[in-house]
Amino acid sequence: MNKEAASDRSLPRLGVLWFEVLAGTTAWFVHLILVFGLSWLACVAGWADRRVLSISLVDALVAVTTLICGAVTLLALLWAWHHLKQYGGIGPESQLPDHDQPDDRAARTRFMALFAVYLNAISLLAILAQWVPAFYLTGCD
Amino acid sequence: MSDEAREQDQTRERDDHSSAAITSDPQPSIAADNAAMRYGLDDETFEALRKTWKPPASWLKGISAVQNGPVAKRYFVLVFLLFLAAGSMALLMRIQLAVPRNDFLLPDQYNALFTMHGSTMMYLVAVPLLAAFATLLLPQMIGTRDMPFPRMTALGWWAFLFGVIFLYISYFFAVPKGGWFAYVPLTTKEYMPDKGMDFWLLGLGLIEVASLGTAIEFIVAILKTRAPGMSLNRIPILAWAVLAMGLMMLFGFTPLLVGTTFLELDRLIGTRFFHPEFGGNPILWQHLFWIFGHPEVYIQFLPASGVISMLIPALSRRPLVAYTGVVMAIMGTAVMSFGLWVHHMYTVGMPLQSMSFFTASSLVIGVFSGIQVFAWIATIWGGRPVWNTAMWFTIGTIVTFVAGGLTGIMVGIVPFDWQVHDTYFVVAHFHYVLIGGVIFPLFAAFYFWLPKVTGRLFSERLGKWNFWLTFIGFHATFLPMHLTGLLGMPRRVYTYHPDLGWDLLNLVSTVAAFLLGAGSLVFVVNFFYTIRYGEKAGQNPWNAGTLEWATPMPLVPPPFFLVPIIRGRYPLWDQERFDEGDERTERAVKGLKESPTDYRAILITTVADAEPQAIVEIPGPTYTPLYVGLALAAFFTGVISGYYWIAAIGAAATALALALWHWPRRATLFLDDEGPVMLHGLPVHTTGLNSTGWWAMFLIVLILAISMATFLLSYFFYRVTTPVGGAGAVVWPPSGIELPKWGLSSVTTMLMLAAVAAMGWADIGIARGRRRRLVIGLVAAEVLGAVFMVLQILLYRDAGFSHDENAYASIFLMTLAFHIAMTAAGLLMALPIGAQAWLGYFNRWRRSTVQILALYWYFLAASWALTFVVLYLSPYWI
Repeated sequence: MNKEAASDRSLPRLGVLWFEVLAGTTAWFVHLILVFGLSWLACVAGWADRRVLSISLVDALVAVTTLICGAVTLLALLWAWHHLKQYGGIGPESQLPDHDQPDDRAARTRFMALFAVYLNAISLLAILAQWVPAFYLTGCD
Repeated sequence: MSDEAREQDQTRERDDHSSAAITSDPQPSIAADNAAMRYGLDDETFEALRKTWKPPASWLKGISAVQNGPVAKRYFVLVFLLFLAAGSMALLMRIQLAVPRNDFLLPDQYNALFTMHGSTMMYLVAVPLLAAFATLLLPQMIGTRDMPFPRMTALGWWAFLFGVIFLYISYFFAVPKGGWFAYVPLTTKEYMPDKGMDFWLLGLGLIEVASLGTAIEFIVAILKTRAPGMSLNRIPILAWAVLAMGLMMLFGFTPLLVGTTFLELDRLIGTRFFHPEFGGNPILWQHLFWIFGHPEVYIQFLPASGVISMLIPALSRRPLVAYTGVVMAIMGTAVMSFGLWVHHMYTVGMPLQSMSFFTASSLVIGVFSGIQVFAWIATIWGGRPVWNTAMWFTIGTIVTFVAGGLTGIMVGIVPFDWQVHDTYFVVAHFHYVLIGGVIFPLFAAFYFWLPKVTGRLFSERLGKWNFWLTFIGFHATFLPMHLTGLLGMPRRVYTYHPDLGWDLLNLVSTVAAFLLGAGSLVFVVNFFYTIRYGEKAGQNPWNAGTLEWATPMPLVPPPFFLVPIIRGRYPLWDQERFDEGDERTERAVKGLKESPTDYRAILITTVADAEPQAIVEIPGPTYTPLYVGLALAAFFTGVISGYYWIAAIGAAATALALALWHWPRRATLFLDDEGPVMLHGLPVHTTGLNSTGWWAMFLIVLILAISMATFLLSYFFYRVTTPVGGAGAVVWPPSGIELPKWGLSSVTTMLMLAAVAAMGWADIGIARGRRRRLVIGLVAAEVLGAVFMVLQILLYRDAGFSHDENAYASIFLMTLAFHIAMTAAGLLMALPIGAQAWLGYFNRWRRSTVQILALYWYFLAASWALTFVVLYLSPYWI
């Protein structure tokens, strides 16, 4: 068995890598639209003051949305991190192939994994940042 | 070897042979070979290939050229003239504002000037100029002989040209005065009854169509036609940026297209989308506009930043630092820019919490820009920069864009924005971002890449004058505007009182604006000087590492006889040979070099790894794009003038021209029922995800899906913002309108499902080689679809209300009308394809056209199902 065939066998599926690449930003966008929509709709439709177990309904829904979207992003981040470590790690000490090494698919896998780690990390930061206003701003002012 | 050590080695190696003079021409390998343009081809083959790829020579025949090079040159000329026109308008405005109570311009003239200046710069200059560079360079950078849809490239140009004519012809009738943002209700017929806004809206509509076509072209080219070996991790940064730009145009321009359609319908036929007294809502326009408007800034900035990320490594003579981080920043910005639009609407009266979510995303997006800026600085820091004009404009970009970005963070914060909203502070901010982040990189790009067109280098002496006049003029013009804004001077005022403390600042801005204008004039002088006296550029004047410098100088099509096999991010630095790869790839590229010689052929590759998949034919010179452009212009002219028979002729002519467009040449059908037709080990027909046509249709479906989503979300927007009735309950549909009857619409839905089932049956049938089943299935789908459309028209006619009754009636009927139009398009598409099926033009290997049609019909069914649920069922439970 040649080297390329052996390498291809252990490579993660392309669909998994695309999930890692796309999940974080998709979750971020869904989060933004949902929290904005919920907050705005609650005021326009007049149910912003409703409470569940003494917690504002809007805040509770924003929290649930944040946790779900954050979890999806974290999953994609950790999965990408796993693949990144498998294919060379993040630093220059990497012993595994990079862009100009002969094993092209492994290099592309590492690129996608590193890309996904960066992007999911920032997406997670953005999702958490978007949660912050819910802690100190409530109601329809 | 570590990344860092390897990059240092590469830098040293390049320095060894490039430090003497940047205009030396030491590049071995493909560049030298390509200068000879032979690659061992015998005379006969060489001449045959040259003849096949040569654009038409004469002026008249020249307009039939569809290749990227000739089309890009047309864009450059027209767009630069528009740039000068927009700059002249800005100078006229600055003269008016130089002193208080000036009467150089009348208020209406001032309004017209800021409208046309903004519209020209935002719609006609920045994006088209970047698109022109992309059109010129993209095939060369990614190693393909041409774009996958050259006729689309040409159609984009013609639609753009006619759009420009529409916008500027308004000067002879009534100049639009609603600003580049065209806020309602100011731009509704009640407040702007003349035709100026109609010209603006319809011209913009044509330009949006052109932009969407161009976007599809770029996306498919980058995903499917890269040189073998150019896997995702080796794509040039500018190509990544153009990919981001293309995707953003799809998602951004489409809501704008729907919004402008709403506004034009309000003006033309009296719908009520933006009339509050009829349940309409002007805020909807702001949402639709800014969902486009904010990403528009990044649609311009991202490719400009891609330019910078290409120039800095070439001029610093080392690879870009943090390639993956920069690519991630580009793609991350592209997505996150769609989460900022509300920060343009902080003063419309939304809940504070809702707005604060957008403050958060406005702050986070700065991280992406920061990554790019630090990568640029680190690359210059670690390299040996050449301080020429292109590099100076690059430095100017970094300095200016960072300043503009910081004030952008400031205005993204709600309380600060409330203080400076609609003041000159905002004018200063966005000019820092757009001139610093787009125009400066464009100047750099001209100095760097125009030798590809002219074959000559710009004068460096004049270039430095160009840079310093522009840089100093720019900052002296716009820096004081921060202060005038903080002092309270509002935007869009044609004059001001003398005792407000704005006089000196405005005078400084005006004087400096002329310096800025002088900078641009020096560029024009430099251009004409260069094409006459400029130094010959040589093959690779900057010793750059990317593939576009391997093509003939100046460019002669095709850019590549030998499609190169790529093994690095900087092929001209990393590789000695370009014809070595695995056996299959070598066979394909070496074979393609020799044949076909009688038609234009390009290589199709996989999305992730750029492995060869097929060799397909692309069209040569044709007038069809011009016909389609003219037909579209006739359609718009008919609409604008109220002569709807002209519009009908235009629509029919468009359909006919498109049918001609898609009719295949019998000579290159290559039908063989025994198996796939192969050329150099690769099939000449593609199906499914392998097909560029499938990808194009997928993107068209995406555009239509976004449009339909915009219609349906607008429906819910009206639903939510409808005033509460007397008993505290929302009245929906509004009083006087009955709940929609779902009986006939249910039957209609069943018919649609039956039609799409027939289409699917035909699609699966031809996949198994059954031609007869294909014909029967297509005929059945066509008949069922036609009945479906008739029922849709009945639903429209018998709705029980007219489109001008209220906003509910408008959105309900126009959504229905939109779906009827899509159905009509589906039926029209099926006709020529049915005829081809009848003639036996398809078999199990040549069937992508059927798949493409089926994809459209699947979408038609899905979008109707959703429309049915929203319009006919949702009022019963929501």
